[in-house]
Amino acid sequence: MDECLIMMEIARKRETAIIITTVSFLITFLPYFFPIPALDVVQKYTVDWALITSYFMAIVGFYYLTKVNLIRLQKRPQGWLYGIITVILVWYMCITGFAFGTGHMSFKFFYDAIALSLTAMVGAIQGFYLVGAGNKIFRFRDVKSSFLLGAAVVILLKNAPVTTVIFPGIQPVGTYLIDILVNSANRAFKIGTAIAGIALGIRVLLGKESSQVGLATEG
Amino acid sequence: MVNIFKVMATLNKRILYLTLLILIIVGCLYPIALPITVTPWTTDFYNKINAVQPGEILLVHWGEGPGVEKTMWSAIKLTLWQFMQRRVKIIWMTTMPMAPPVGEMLLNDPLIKDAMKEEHYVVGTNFTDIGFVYMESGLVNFVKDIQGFTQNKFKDTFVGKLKDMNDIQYCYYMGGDPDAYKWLAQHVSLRFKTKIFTISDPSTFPTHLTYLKAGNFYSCLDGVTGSAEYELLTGKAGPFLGRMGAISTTSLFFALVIVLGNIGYFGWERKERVKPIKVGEKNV
Repeated sequence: MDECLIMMEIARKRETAIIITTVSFLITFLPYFFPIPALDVVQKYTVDWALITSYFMAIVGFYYLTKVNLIRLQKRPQGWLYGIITVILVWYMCITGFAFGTGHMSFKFFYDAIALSLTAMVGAIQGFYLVGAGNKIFRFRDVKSSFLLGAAVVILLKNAPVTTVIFPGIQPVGTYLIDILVNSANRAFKIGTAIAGIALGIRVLLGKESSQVGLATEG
Repeated sequence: MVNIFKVMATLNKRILYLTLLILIIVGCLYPIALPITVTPWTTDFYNKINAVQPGEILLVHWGEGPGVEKTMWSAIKLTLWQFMQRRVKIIWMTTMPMAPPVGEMLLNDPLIKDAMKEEHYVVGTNFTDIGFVYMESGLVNFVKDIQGFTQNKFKDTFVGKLKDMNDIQYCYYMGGDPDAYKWLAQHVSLRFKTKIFTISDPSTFPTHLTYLKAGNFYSCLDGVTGSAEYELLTGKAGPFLGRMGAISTTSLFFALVIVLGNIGYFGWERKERVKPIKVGEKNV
């Protein structure tokens, strides 16, 4: 019994979490730079563990989705009904999928008739909101906002096939905007976030990022 | 008296939504065959598939959700059809939980079914479905050790002869998951010589182009306009070519709304604009 308590105490320590993070990081990171077969094998096992653990995450998510919505059913706050519909559908899809397979009509019907249409609808609805917002947001307020306005209008006209035929000059301008300007800004953004990610990773490995090891509230 | 500039600056949303809805419905019900131009990216995509040699291996990384059936179906099926015309060997891999039924729909599409019959695609000989591969860890394991990952289940097919991703010449990523294409760039194109084709919706297309410029991707296609362009290039007219009329009218309507908003802004709103509230100041 005492041994169990000691083990639990060790597992709870901040240092243990940092050591596990560091070792896992090195196992997956080093094979990129050092082609050592043994390291490759260890990396493969670690990745397998990650894969298996991720499946457990789905089960935990399923459990909490049901639990949280059942609690909401008791308290009945605003929008509780949507949560219940979600739970019913999740259970329905799971049961029919496991029992009859994903090819069975009972499973396919809900997918084809509901999931298919609703996913397309979510995208379609955005168009309406964008038109409403476009009238209010894209204004020539100053020089900076004029860049956004100009780019938006050019891209819209470029995307309208009929305009590219009537005004062939629109196509190369739109292509330049997407291919050169958006690309360079995108790349700068990506490199910036990658460097920030590396900095964060180093802080985690050095134990300076307490939230990573569940100690955010103690800090 | 009604201030016309005020009306332009504050267009009624109900009217905007209704007009847009009418434009879409009319455009879809009565498709007008408006002329379209093919973008350089689509031309490049088309030409690069045409340059694929018979017998080369293509890994289809299928990660599309159900929405694509309405938005870029023609581009998806016509590009796959074009690959089949090149008689490539296909490995089919599904990578998104919602994707398998849509993939099944694609494989059951009459055009693809006919192509499989005409080009003598036989499951196991030149077409193998290796099933669901979960997230980054699944992809990493697959690309490094194909036999280990598949546990030699496909040893009697052409997949049984493949060691790692170096033995696969092309990968075709069909999906919009922002993580998935990062994993492909990181684990496939940087470590192996596989050339990656991608198809995506217009919102993620510029990001794909970043990878294209960096040399991580081989060719990228915007699936929405690409659908109509592909129908034009392959001579297989479908619904998307007709829908280009609706895309044209709605895009022009959007541009018109912006122009009206700006006229209203200069004619009325700019004069009426209240002093902006500073941080910490009370809004009274």
